[in-house]
Amino acid sequence: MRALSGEADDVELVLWSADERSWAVRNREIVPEVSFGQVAVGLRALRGGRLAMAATATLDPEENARALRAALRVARPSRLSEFAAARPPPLVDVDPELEALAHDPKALHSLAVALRDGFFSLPRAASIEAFEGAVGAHRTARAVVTRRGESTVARAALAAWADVEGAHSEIVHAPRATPEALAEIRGVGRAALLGLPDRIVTPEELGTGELPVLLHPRLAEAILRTALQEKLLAESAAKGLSDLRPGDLVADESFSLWDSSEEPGLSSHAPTDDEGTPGASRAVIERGRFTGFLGSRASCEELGIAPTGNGFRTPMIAEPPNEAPVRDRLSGLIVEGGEKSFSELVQGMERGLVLVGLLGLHGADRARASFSCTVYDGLAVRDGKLLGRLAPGRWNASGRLLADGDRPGLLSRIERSREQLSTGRSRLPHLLVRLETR
Amino acid sequence: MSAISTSREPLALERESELRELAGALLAFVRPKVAYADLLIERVRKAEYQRLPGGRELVKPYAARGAMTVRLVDAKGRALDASFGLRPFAELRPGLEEALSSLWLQEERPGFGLAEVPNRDRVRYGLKGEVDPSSPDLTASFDALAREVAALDEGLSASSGLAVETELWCYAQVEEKLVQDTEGLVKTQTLPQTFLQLLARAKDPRSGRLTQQRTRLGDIRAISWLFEGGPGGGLRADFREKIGGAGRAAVGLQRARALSSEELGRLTHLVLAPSAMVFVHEAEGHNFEADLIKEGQSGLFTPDGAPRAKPFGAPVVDVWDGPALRPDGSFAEGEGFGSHFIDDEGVEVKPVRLVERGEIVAKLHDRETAHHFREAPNGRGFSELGQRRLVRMTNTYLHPAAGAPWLDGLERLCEGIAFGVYLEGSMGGAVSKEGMSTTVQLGRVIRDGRLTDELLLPGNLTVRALGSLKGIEAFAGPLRCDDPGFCGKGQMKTVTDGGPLTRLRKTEDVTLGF
Repeated sequence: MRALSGEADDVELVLWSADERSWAVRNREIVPEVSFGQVAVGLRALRGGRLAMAATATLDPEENARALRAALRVARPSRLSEFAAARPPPLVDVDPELEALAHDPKALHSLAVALRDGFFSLPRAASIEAFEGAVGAHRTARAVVTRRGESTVARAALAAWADVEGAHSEIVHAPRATPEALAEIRGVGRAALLGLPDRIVTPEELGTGELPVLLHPRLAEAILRTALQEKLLAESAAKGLSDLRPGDLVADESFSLWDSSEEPGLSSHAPTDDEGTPGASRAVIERGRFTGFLGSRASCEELGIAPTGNGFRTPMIAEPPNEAPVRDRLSGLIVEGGEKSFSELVQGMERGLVLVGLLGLHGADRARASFSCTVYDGLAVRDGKLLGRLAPGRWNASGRLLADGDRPGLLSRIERSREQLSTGRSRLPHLLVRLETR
Repeated sequence: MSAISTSREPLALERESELRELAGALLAFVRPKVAYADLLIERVRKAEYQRLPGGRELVKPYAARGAMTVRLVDAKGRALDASFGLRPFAELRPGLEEALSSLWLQEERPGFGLAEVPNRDRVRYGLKGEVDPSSPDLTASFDALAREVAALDEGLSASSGLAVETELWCYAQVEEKLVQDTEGLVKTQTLPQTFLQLLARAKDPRSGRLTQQRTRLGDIRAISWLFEGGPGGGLRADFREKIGGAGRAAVGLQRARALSSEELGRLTHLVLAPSAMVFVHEAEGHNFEADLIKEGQSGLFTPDGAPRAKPFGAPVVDVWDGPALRPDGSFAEGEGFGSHFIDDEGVEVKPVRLVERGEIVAKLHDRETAHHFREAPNGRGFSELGQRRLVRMTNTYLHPAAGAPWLDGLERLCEGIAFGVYLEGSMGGAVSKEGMSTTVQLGRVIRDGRLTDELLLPGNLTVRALGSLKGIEAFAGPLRCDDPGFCGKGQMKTVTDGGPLTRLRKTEDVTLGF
């Protein structure tokens, strides 16, 4: 900042650091993996209505200043006139017990051993070729500093996952090292195997066509972020990629979707977005109606609305976050639970599916907010009971999120389970929708 | 591109003495404590340009990143990978000590070992190509590119009556790596890379209907590769044709339709363009990665390394990973977006024939899996910037087996097909143990042996791994393996996939949906 005081009208620096300690489980082997001292710096500067961008992996002020000077020489016109000026209190979400556990290799190792041994304690494990998982503790920090603003967030979390035959996985996110969280981590290998029934159900056996489908919260989040998100963002509206207007009815009137950076325990909980604009908790779909676009400073300015704190350096393809431009993205997704439990929703299905994973969702047609994907993880339901797992690679599910003329969209008829699940970044129930299957 | 400084060897690393000093200090510290250690240091310098809808531009003339991964192996086969940012040794030492304490907690692994690195004495590998953040050449190249794309959009908008606009993303970078070990191995590689992605969108102002098509170019070349004799000479004609093709396809999609269920039931054949060949990467390539084989995750091999099917595919087909095989039998060394000269363990990258006449004949190895299966290493251990090294693909392609039908062109390939589809382009794929899935970007109906002008919307192509090559009947046109992509396996790795135009009989292992 000081080095460039006379050379730029405003300067923004975003600094990320991360340390990670984990134990990978590969069948019976347990192997440690550690990562320390990774630093990433994203730099932007404004001069005369032009925006300059650079990125480094060093804390050396001189190298960062040199990078930004090079960028200023080829800066391009921008709608941004200044960077954020907020100074919210720092957010430190670090559980001391979790920190102590992270720094105790024996304790983390014993969790990984328990995860593995729980899996192999089940007789069916002997017939499984591929079991893998991991237990890890990571600590991340992010600082956004501008001439007039500053925000910092530091958090630590435990994460564990287990996958059986690449066909079913279970994931645990724990911001606190509570006894319940540790028990869940120890049991995640066992849970993954128990979640993979022996019986395989083909499309011919159950029958296909339009079916009621319960989307697992992880899959529901993936579909919303991949196929719907673009329609809700200010930059899409500015580019003509979203025809939505505030007030449009886009979903069942019982359905609300919240965008929130204020949910404790989620990784989306932060005082600001990646350009220092404070976020909030706001309904982007409220009782079925679209309330308004969300976005970064530049795209909101282009639409003539106040920035909403949705400017994130979300990487695409091979970009690291510090090299990614600021993009409009949703923060944490929150959908409140419904009246019926997951079990009651299953019991209400004569013939249907529970979907956990779709292959190739990244290829969704964002322009049409639609997808057509192969199922790799899911269960068949008949007469209100779970019948077995869907034959791998044999099922396809497709849907369009928004209505098209008289044809209802996936969101047009939707029910929610009472239970919600944290996906790490979001908190969602199971969503009961109707999809075309074959 | 500016010339490399003449004060050092052409393929020397930019800060080589500093990096080798850091590597030496680190290896000297761990040498008394472990049986073996090796490390990989990677640095990337990149310049980047984006042109967004509405003409907004983002230019990033300088982005740099670097990291290292250190592998520690003790006498009882316990091993770990530790990742570090590029910091002075004194700052790395506490992390190394913590890594060592984790290493010794591990259970003994008596079967663990690493295959020897062949050709240990050769140090230098790579191609020249510099990204100089102070050079005006790069931004001139980016600007020239943007002008050409804007002109193509303008022409297409005028001729189609639609609003055609193309998003453009281009970067040029140099990636350097240094591999050293406690037994005196030193190898370096310097590799340029240029990547261009275009997303053409066509919007009908009357209906508001929006269609799009993506295309990519990429190779291990400096950015001058895109132009005829430099930015002043304009884009290479073949690249201009490919870029223009994306816009034309986006326009064409406005009148495209989906196949009905009845039509899908009647399909007898699929003809795949090289750009729709992502199944070769997903359904073949991944299943040949020996780390996945060892861990029981391959759909084509049992964990002991035996093929699950024999024969696996039709006898007309071979599958290769590596530089493309030329008609004269040589390999296009130094070409291909997925190419490297050495992998991230210092092993030279060899072309590997994975399938010969439909039979599985080889695997892709890093040093650990080569030792595990008692086979020769072939240079497929790669890391994404400081992460653990995994077995990865490079350029993976179908090739006609000796004596296979290799016809003159697409028209010949369509002959005899009662009702089929010709598919082009892919939005990337995803794989599970059983098979793969991709969204193809565009299709055309083949009816009564002729390719028609009936265009098809993007569709979902699913291929089951074990049956993926059974229906292959014939090939046409030149081998193309120049569709660049980024393969995710927890880490990103540059790759390509392709083959000649390929005719595939519709079997129960291949499914198309809309």
